[in-house]
Amino acid sequence: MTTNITRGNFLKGMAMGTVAGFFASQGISSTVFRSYLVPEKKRKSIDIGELKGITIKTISETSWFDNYVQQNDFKKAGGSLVSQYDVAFTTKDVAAGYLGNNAGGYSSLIEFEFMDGSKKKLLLDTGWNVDWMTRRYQEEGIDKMLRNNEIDVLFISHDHYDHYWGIEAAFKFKPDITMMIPNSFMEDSYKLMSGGNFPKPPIKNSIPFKGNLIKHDLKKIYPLYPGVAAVTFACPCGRGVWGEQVLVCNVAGKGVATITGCCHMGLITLLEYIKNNMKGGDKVYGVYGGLHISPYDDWNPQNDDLVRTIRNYKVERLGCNHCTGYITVEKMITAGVPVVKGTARNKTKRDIYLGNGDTMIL
Amino acid sequence: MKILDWVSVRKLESRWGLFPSGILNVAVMLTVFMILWRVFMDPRGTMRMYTPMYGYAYVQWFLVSVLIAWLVMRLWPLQNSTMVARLHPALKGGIWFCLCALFMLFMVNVVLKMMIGGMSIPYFSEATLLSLKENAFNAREYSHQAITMVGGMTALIIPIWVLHLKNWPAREIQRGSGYVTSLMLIFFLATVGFLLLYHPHLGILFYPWQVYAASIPWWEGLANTLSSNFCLGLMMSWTAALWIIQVTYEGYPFKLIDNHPLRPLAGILGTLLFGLILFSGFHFLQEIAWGAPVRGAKLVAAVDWRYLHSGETSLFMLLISLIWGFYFKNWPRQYSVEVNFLIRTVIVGIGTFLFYNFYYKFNAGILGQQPGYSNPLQFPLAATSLIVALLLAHSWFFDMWPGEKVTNLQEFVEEPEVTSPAGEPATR
Repeated sequence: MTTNITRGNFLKGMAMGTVAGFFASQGISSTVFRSYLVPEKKRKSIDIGELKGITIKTISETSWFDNYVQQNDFKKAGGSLVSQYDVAFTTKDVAAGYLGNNAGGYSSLIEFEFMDGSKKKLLLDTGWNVDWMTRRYQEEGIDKMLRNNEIDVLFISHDHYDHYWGIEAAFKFKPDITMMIPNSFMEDSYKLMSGGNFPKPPIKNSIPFKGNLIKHDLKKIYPLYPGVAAVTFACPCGRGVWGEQVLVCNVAGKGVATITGCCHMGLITLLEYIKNNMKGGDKVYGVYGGLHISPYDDWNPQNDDLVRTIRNYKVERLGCNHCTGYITVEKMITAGVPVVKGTARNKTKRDIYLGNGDTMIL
Repeated sequence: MKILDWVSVRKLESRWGLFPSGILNVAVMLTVFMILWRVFMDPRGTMRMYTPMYGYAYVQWFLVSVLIAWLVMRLWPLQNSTMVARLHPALKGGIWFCLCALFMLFMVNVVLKMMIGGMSIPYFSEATLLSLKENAFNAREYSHQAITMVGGMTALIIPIWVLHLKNWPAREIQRGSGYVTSLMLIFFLATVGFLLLYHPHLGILFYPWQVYAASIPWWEGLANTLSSNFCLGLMMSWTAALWIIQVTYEGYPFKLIDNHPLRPLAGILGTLLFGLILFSGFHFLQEIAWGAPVRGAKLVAAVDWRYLHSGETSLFMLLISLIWGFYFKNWPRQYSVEVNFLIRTVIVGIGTFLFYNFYYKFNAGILGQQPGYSNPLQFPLAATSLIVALLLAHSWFFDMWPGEKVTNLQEFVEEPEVTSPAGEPATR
C-alpha cells in the first residue's frame, strides 16, 4: 500500500516518531527506571587478615624472546583461538632465543612475611622452556629452595604454555610439592602434569607430579595465609585456556597488593573486584605481575582507556612486566603511573619495568 | 529476454507446506554453513581463517557481495531469462555463489589490499604493514580489521540506499551504467562513513598515535571510550533496524509515504531512531545483567564491549527476523496488520532470546571458539554474518530450493521484458 500524505501530517508523524523513539530509547534507562532495575552494588568486606610485607623476585618474565617469531607461529597455526597444544612453536635457530629456542617462561618467587615475623615462600608459575627455567632456577637458588622444602606451594595462575609448560623444571627438584591450580585446566594440561608428551608444540614432562594437588573453583576467594588469598576468575585467556587465579594480599598499614600471572580478567576488573569485595580494597598499595595489555606490543584504543583510567585507582607502586608490554609501560610512565623500574639483565631487554632477577618489596 | 527484477516477479511456493519446507530449508542452509565454517574458519578445521579478523573480513565482504548482486545490481549482467529462470536453481545459485566469491576476492585482495593498502593507506595491507616491521600476526589482524570495517559500513549503506533512496539512479537507468553508478555512490558513502567512524580508531591503533593522519576519536566524550566499538555497535543496530522494519514490519510505516519527496529523510532518520532504540535498549539490558560498565575494564565490564555487544545482539535479532521472514514467510499474514506485527514481534523477540542463549551455551563446541560472553579474540558476528549471507543467497540466487519452487516460470519464456510491478525492491 502506498499513499501521499500532506506536509503537515508528514511533519507531525516525524515529530511523534522522534518523541516516541526518544522515550523508548532513553526513557527506559532514565533515573527512575535505572534506580529500580539496576540496584546499587552491595559491597562486601571480606577480611583476609593482614601481613607485614612481601618480597617478590622475578625469576623469568621473558615468556618468549622474539615477538615476531612468536606471532608468526600463531599466524601459521591459525590465530588466537587455536588450542595451544595444536601450535608448532619455533624452538630452533632463533637468534634472540635461549640456545636458539624462542620459548622462555614466566615465574616469580613470592616471600610473605607475617605479623609474627615468620615467613613463607610460594613459587608462582613454572615458565615454559625447561632448559631456560632450569637455568634461571639455578641462578636464583630456587633449585635449592625446592630441594630443601623451603617453598611451601607451587601456585599456577593458569595453564598457558608460558606459565605452566615448564613444570618439569620445578618437578626435577621437587616432584611432590603441593600445587594449587584453578579448577579449569585443559585436559591436555593434566596429561602434561602426569608425564605427557606433545610432539607438535613440542612440550613434554618426564617427571610425573607426585604431590598434593589443590584445585580452586572459579569465582571464589580462598584464604591461603594471614593476609593472603587466592582469588579465582572465570575469564577467557585464549589458546583454549579458561580461568585464572591471582594472589591478593593485605599489607598492614599500607593497603592491598595484587600479584598476577597474566591478569587475563583485566587490571581494572581486578581492582574493582577487590574494592567491592574485600576489606581495605579501596586502598591499592601495590600491583605486581603480568597485566596482559599489549603482550606482543600490539595495541588497541581500549588499552588507552585503561591507561587513562588506572591513575584514578591511585596505585602507589606498580611493578609490572611480561604481558604488560613495553608500549603500555611507556604510556603509563608518560601518564604519571608509578611504574617500578628494573635493571634489564638476564635477557630482559629494557629497564622500564621489572625484569629477570629484579626484586620488588611491598 | 531480460528479467530486471527476478526476485520481485517470481512466485515461490512451498513444496511440502510452510513449516516443513521452511524447516528443511533452514537445515539445508545451516548444513552449508557448517561445512563452510569447518573448512574455512574453524580454529580446529582445515584453513583456520578465523584468526579472527582474517576470516571475518572475507565473510563480511561475501555478505556485501551478495547484497550488491541482488539489491544493487539486480543480477546484472546475467539478467536473461535463460540464466535467471530456466537454469535449475541449484546450478544458477551455484554460479551466483561463485561470482559473489570472486567479487569478494576482487574487493578484498585487489581493491582494498593491493590498491588502497599498497598505494594509499598502509593499514589495509598485511604486506605493507609487514614491510613497516609490524609483527606478523598484528599485521594480519589490523589489516583485516580495517577491511571488515569498510565492509560493515558498506553493508549498512546498501539497504539505506536501496530501500530509502530507491537505488538511485539504477531505478531509472536499468542497465549496466545505472547499476554501476548506484554501486559507486554506495561505495563513496561507505568510504565517507568509514573515514568518520572508524579511521580515527585505526589511527590510534598504532604507537605512537598517528595524529597527523587521523583525528583523535571525536566520540570519546560522548561514549567514554576511545574505541570505535561505540560507532560499530550503533551502525550494527541501525543495520538491524533497517532490515527488521523492511522484513518483519513489511516496510511500515515508511511504506505509507512512498511517494513523498521527504520519504528518504523520514526513512533514514526513522530507521536510525529505531536503531538507537535497539542500541540503548540492549545496552540497558546488559547493565541490568552485569552492572554498569567501567572504563578501562576488560571483558563484560568494558565500556567499548558493551556497545559492541548491543550491536551484536541487534544483529542476532536481525538474523531471527530474516529467518522468520524468508523461511517461514513472515507468518502470520492472515490477521490485521497490527495483529500480524504484534505476533511477529513476539516471535522475533522470543527467537532472539533463545538464539542468544543457545549461541553462548554451545558456540565453543560448535564453532571452535571459547566459552563466555566477552572475548576480545572472537566475534559472534563472523558466524552470524555468514549465516545471513547464505540465507540471502538461498533466497535470491537459489530460489529457496529445495524447500520451495517457482510456480510462474512459464511467464518468462516468451515475454519481452518484466519489471517489478511497483518498483519496490523485493527483499524476499
